[in-house]
Amino acid sequence: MNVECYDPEGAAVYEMILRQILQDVQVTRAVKDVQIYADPREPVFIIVVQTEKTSPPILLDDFAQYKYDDEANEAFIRIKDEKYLPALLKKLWEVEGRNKIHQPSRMEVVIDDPQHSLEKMVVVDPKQDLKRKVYDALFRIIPEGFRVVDHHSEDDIIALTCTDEVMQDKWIAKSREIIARMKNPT
Amino acid sequence: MYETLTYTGGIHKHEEMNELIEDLGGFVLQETVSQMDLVLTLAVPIEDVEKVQEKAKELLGKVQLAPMAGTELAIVSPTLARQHLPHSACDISEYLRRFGAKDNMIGLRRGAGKGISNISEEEKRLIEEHDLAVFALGSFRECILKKTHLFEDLEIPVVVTGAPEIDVDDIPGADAYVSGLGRIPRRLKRGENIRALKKLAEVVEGIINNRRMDMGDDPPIVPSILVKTEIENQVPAIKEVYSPAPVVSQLDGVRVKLDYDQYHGEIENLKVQDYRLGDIADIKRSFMYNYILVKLLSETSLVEPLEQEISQKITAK
Repeated sequence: MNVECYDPEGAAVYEMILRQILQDVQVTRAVKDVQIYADPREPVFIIVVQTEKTSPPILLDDFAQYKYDDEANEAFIRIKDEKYLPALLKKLWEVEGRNKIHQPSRMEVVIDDPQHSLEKMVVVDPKQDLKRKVYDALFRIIPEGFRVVDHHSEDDIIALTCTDEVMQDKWIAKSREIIARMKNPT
Repeated sequence: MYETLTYTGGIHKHEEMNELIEDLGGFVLQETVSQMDLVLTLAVPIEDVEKVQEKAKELLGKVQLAPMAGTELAIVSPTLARQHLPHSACDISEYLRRFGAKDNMIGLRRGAGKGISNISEEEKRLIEEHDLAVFALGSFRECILKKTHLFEDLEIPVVVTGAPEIDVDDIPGADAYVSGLGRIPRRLKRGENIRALKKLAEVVEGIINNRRMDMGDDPPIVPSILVKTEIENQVPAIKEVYSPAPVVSQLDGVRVKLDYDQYHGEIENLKVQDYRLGDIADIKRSFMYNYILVKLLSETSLVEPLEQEISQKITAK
């Protein structure tokens, strides 16, 4: 973790903000590296985050059995691990619609007239969850007035370049430079 | 001379305290009840403070000096986003309240950013309705110095807070600057934060005391506390107001939380001592929710029109 700034007091404050917010959002351990470059004279604020590797996504097949009933035109899901039920319901409501999902008991879910295949359906994607949390943290960290944001994301790196004036190429180049440094630490 | 105090205790038998204050010729400025607890902000003649302390001991309550009681402060943050609130602006507000101040949080519409921050005329007028404004600004010296236009032409005293050490002479428009605050995303409960808050309370107290002394040279005809008490006694509608403080006393006036269009006539015709309130005060529409703002006129401002009238007559002759 490193904050680069001409003003040591400002840098210290941002380091404190960074630590506190990562802790608030509970991603401290999931973040491998963070680099901040702040220069309020320009004004520009660059933050680059590299996340740790996450566990693989959890598929429907991992915690449930399912079968299609062609006659009744419905799909029947029997769940083995209740832990993922909220995520599953949320996912099904999203893809099939809330009125088509029924839950006759704790461990059963019935879908009327299923339109989407249940095979290999991703129910929980830790990578996506982590990204959401990291973005939440990032938008809490960046200064409020800096609403002109250049967003760059590749693999496990997320970078925001923010300013409150017209974005300049040299700032974007600077953020790419930080990304390159982060990828190949010497 | 009155001394302002806060009494913290239980509800049980608290009317004895209210009666004592009344008997001593004092005032209850604010009464806050939360479940079984009670906080009274009160003003009593300075020589009777001991009597209040004795009573508090009897009722197992606590009495503390409240140097800022009877003032209304504005805590201004550049916006209401989470970069500024609840920490540190709300923590500042909460801390000043412990000293008896009644404070309002004000978030500017577009106060954020370095090059783009601005303040509207309406916001300025709203802030100027208070006795003093605390501007809770950020962590970079550069940013604080670039935001002086937010408070430069305010007519009330302004205290600016931020993280770095800055000489107050470098900040045009600020009467004082308190360092060690700024953008902090957690509660201000650590040693250095509490020291900074203490410093802030000291500074605010000092400015308010100076203001009181200045006003002592040319005081309002009736004290604002008296106007507040008279409004509470004479205007029945005030009992229907649900705000915790329906009438807020300021150094040189009161804010009445009633609709201006409906009640300003009643307030103008109020009898305070031997005066009609409309004659000895400016009664205006407040920028805060159409409330009524009463600004008491000082003794000299009332004499002046009379003198002018006489001098006009002389010149006419």
